[in-house]
Amino acid sequence: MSAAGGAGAGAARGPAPDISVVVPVYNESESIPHLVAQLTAALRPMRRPFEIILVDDGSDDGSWDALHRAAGACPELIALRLARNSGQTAALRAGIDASRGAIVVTMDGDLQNDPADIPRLVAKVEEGYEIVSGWRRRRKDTWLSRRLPSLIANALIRRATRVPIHDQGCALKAYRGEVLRSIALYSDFHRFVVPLTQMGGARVAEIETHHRAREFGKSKYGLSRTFKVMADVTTLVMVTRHVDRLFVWFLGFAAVPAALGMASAIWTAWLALRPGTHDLLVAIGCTMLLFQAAFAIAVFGLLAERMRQLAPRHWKAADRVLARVFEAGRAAPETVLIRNGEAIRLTG
Amino acid sequence: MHPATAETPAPTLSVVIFSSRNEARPLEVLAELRRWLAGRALDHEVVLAFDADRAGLAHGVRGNLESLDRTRLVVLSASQGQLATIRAGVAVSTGRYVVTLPAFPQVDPSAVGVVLEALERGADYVVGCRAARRISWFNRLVSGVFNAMVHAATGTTYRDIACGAHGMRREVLAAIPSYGDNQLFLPILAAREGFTVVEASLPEHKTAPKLRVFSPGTYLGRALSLFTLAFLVRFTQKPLRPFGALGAVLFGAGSLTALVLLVQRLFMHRGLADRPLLLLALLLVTAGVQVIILGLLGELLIYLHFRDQVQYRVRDRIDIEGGMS
Repeated sequence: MSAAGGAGAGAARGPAPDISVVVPVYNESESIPHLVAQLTAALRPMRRPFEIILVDDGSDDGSWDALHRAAGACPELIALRLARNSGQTAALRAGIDASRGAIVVTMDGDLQNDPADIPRLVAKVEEGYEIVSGWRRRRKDTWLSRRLPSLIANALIRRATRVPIHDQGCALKAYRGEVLRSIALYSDFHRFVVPLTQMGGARVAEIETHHRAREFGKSKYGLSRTFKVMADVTTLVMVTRHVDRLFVWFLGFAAVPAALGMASAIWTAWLALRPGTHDLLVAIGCTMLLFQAAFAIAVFGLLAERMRQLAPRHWKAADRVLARVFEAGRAAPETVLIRNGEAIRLTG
Repeated sequence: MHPATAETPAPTLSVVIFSSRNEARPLEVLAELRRWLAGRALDHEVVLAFDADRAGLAHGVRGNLESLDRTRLVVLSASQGQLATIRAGVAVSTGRYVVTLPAFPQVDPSAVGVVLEALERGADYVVGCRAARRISWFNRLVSGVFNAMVHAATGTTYRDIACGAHGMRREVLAAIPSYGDNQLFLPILAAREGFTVVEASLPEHKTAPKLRVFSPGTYLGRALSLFTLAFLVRFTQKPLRPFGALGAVLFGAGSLTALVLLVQRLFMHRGLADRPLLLLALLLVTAGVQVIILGLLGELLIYLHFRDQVQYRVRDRIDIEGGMS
């Protein structure tokens, strides 16, 4: 968990390229030669400087050797090997930290994304978007184990984060480099790069991309991830939408048992006042339980609020925010990223 | 603390003999170690590390310090336990490789050579494992149970958790977070940081005590460290997943029970006021919600404190244009 060595940009490299493509790979030794060949075939005709960053997330199937061989034929390739299998989010972040491109394209290493879509994604970013997300409209996956969980997860994420894109899970996306490099990509949040980025006001577009059936290796996901995604979405909603008013958010939860407790109190009173003898133990017990729960949740809210106040920096949801600067004599506004009180000009 | 200067270059090997609550015979171990080292041209130093509650023992050793060549002593000023003692010993050592030994005859001094060899072959951290142990059934049982618990809690497979003979490259200890109260935390944290951890089979000391019985507090302390370890290894990043799962189960069971009661009330005219089961249902539901909220608080902590932390370590980089490293 501790910072034990960032990826850092290669000091000996020349000026920053226009495009960086970042691909985390895990046990994809068969795909790697094809992946590199297809990426160069898609990028070279663009006639713009680019770099391909492949991050080996601690594979044990000889992926690193495959990367060595691929690097011989492709001088634009930078390969990073992580010391252990650190998860897709960490691998993606390693690649992003090492990237220097004005536009960063991310994709999966299993060849299900088609590198031929990259020029269209890049062109869309240059139309004036900070994020362009791929949309696998015609997915080539099994329905029950892949497409159904994905439909549920996307509906959940769309509803919870209010980011109106269809396919959060599509790894093929293009970003303004500075915007992507400025977000805190942590934990298991690689699926939520768009909501995390959009939180700061990024403009998001979506284009349809190709999707191919898996040729090599086997998928690393399954049905169980729906629960994980639900838990993650709940966290995401808290940290993106409510972190500046946690106590109020928790009070909303406390209101439910409080209202039920009131109802239970009225029920208890009604039982007590009704003629005939009644055992009040259950009714009194229910009332007390419900009020206790309401009280505890409110106290948790206070605790959460205090935790935020005591955090190392006074985090605001908008500690990284995009802004547009209008100036007389300039036709189009300039987009800047405000981060730690500094305005960073977005190039390109 | 004692930086290697031009006159005294850093030795290849530092042996740290640690003496905390359950290890009280440092001089015996030191004497045997020196006998073993005497026959070898090995550039070395020895550090004796004492926890504060072993200060009396340290005082006795200090009197002999003049006669002990290449030996250093470190005594903690407050009682901090085994791991802090080891960390202090490693901190004042200067060798490229560090081997730790407990201050009682646990392994044969030649174990130092075995550990050192594993380090020189490229391991970053070496965990000792005593081969062919001659111990009482009680210790065998305790050790078997404890090892099994550690395996279940952490997913590791180290066979001899209680073996105090470990080895590490100097930079390993600096790179792993200062955390935990038991030596066992070191290899697990090292592996999490991506260091290569290997197990080495070591000869047991010929006079190793067959029966070792500790105070109940020691056993309890070890069992409690396990909780910390399990939590560290499994749930640090995503507290809402385990808490959310547990909370959802409680909430679901409570809701289902309440639903059954409600159906009976509405359609079978069975009153609610005399149904204690209603209390249980509500208890489950409210407990479930509170457990989920605890998970959310955990997530909030991670977001507030760790979201900018790097969670990976790059081992190699291929970069033809920019130069390879």
